[in-house]
Amino acid sequence: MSITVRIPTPLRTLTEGEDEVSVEGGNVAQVIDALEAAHPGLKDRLVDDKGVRRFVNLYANDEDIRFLDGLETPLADGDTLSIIPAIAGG
Amino acid sequence: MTGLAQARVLVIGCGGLAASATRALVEAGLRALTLVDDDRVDLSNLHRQTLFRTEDLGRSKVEAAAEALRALPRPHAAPVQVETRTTRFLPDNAETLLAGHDLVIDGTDNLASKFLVADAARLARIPAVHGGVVRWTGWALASAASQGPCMRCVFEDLPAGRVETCAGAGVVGPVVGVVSALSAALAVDLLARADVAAGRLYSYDALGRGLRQTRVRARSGCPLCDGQVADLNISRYMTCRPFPSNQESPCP
Repeated sequence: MSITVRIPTPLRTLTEGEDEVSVEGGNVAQVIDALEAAHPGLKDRLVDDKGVRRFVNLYANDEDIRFLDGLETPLADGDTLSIIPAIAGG
Repeated sequence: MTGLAQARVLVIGCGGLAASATRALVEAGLRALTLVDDDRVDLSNLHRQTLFRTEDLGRSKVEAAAEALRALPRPHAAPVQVETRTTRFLPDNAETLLAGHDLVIDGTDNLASKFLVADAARLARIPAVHGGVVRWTGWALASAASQGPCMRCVFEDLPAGRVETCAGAGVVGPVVGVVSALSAALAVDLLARADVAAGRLYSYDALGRGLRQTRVRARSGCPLCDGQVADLNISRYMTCRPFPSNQESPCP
């Protein structure tokens, strides 16, 4: 299943500047593993040993995965995973 | 709920995020606002902190901003009341600074202050507009006085590492303008209908993606909503440091 992942600006150094990448995966965890394989270093920016890093939000289509099944949230072909980090400046 | 013409708004941080927001609110008829900042106007501020002019360099930000805001046209409203507080917003003065205000706008430039503002506003039961900008992206979120999602429902807690700030990583002026204007719109909406406005998270990406709105919900286990954050202990805001621009941030 092809999933479109939207990459925020601070992480585009790891995707050769791409703001959107497509990877295969049937749930969020699999997509993150596929991201890591294609763009090493991304996984560490999104999850730690406790799960999704605090102050990072992952949206499966328009739903926060914390209100779904977390990293086990299923994804279907054509779905979008968006990464929204907290940003500090003002 | 208090309307704009009766409201007193506290603006914490008098930089880029405050500029368009305060200008819009004053011109729309806001009764009064209080500006909090201890910084002075620097040349590097001028491209995005649009209340300041070249002749303001070196001046207190709150004084220069207050002067600019008082000079704005208000053909259908009495002169705006602008008070200034030349200080940082800190755990030990938060309650005093918040007292007497109907709404808070977070214009700070670091995550520790943003979480402090979020905690203090919710503990004081004052609705708040949060936001952040770096480089080409930004976000804004409205939270109600005491119910519904707060900033910790969305972003949980400070990261343990270093994060980018405008000073370190830079920010594009129009991005600040977009997020600041959004903050003003959220403020007006919060004052008019808190139950509708609260919980809307906007994210903005100037490099192609544009503006996106996501409805967020109160999170089970949120330490602020669940009462685990019951005070403003300074140790809660000490884990995050600004990240220099010449090093890669370990955090998104």
